[in-house]
Amino acid sequence: MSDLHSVIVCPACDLLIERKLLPMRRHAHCPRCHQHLYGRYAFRPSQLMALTITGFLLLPSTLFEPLLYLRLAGVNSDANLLKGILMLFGEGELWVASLVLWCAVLAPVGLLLGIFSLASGLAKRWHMLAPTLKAVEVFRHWAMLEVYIVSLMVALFKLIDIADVRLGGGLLSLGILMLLNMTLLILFDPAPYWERIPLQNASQETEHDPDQRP
Amino acid sequence: MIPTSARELGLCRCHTCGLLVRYQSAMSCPRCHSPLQMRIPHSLAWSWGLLALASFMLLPANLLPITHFYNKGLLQSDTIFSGIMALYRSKMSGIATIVLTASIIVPIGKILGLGWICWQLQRSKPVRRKRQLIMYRIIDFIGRWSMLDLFVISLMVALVDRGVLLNVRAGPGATAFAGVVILTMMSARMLDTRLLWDKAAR
Repeated sequence: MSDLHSVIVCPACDLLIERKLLPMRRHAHCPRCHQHLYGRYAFRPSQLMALTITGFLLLPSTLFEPLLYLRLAGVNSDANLLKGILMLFGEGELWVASLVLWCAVLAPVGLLLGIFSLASGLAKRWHMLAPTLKAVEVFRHWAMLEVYIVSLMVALFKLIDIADVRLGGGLLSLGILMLLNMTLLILFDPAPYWERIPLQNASQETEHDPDQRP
Repeated sequence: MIPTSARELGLCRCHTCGLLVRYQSAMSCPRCHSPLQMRIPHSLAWSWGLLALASFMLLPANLLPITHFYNKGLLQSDTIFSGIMALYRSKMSGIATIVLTASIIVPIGKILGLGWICWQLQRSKPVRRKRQLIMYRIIDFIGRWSMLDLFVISLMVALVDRGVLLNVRAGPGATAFAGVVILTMMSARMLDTRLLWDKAAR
């Protein structure tokens, strides 16, 4: 157990496990609690980059194109992602508006930006690997585009009684962006990027080695 | 071989970047510089506190109106529950069930489930750690779906805006509900699942 590179610790149950080289596309799970530990992914950074660039191209239409049209008493109105948030801000609902802004806009966009800068190597060049990886970990938890799509359907059915509601073009790009986001979440593995960061005071760590052993 | 936890060997896995290091107190991770801790400090206390706040916020979230609907000068205020009942009445039970699950069953189930795990961790009896970890993972996974109602509100506010004639506004219940969502998600983050195994090993 002296070599720290040959063992791995399960993040969910703290079990010490021997690290083995996996075949391609296989994943290691904790034998005690089945937590996903690490995997060998069969994709290249350029593929991740292509996915994120597709996401960037979809962003303008997702954010600014109407998602739903409403026709009521001869007057049309529409809703897009940003308009709802801005109107909530205008009404003084700061908490609700910022939460929706964060989960439906900032976190998904941040995820795209973060993975793009990691996959393209920009994060390493700008010496921002650690902050970027930390940010991506936060964005993972808060990106909720799939919930947004379902809530769109709920809003549609709520209003279908009182007005004529139609789906807008923005919905298509929102749907594709959601699929892209989920694919990125499945494909992206932060571990190899963490390993590129050089360790500080590594020599100091080995000095204390004998005392710390039980 | 008896399964050994890293703590027994004086090893610590960085919670942020996953680097394995020999633990010394008050040390920061040599790779990502975040503070290193064997377990999330005061994990149970934080979880309990955030849970208590969340369950307290459940009251205004469910009792106060989440949407104000102005129709030709008439004000109709809907709480979460009355909105769901209105959907059931207009024969849209599928949608109503989705909203019921997302905005009532998920938040309450989350609070009860996390409270159950915290309580089991405090008792002197051994814990059923497998079942509780599965429960924790389900809670962690479904928690995001309670955002559904807030997204619906933001869409309705943007869509229905005709000045005094017809207008939808968010009510005070929505703010409280946003609080419940944030607090339960933070509580799940603060709960350290490794405590389940620590306790079972004792």
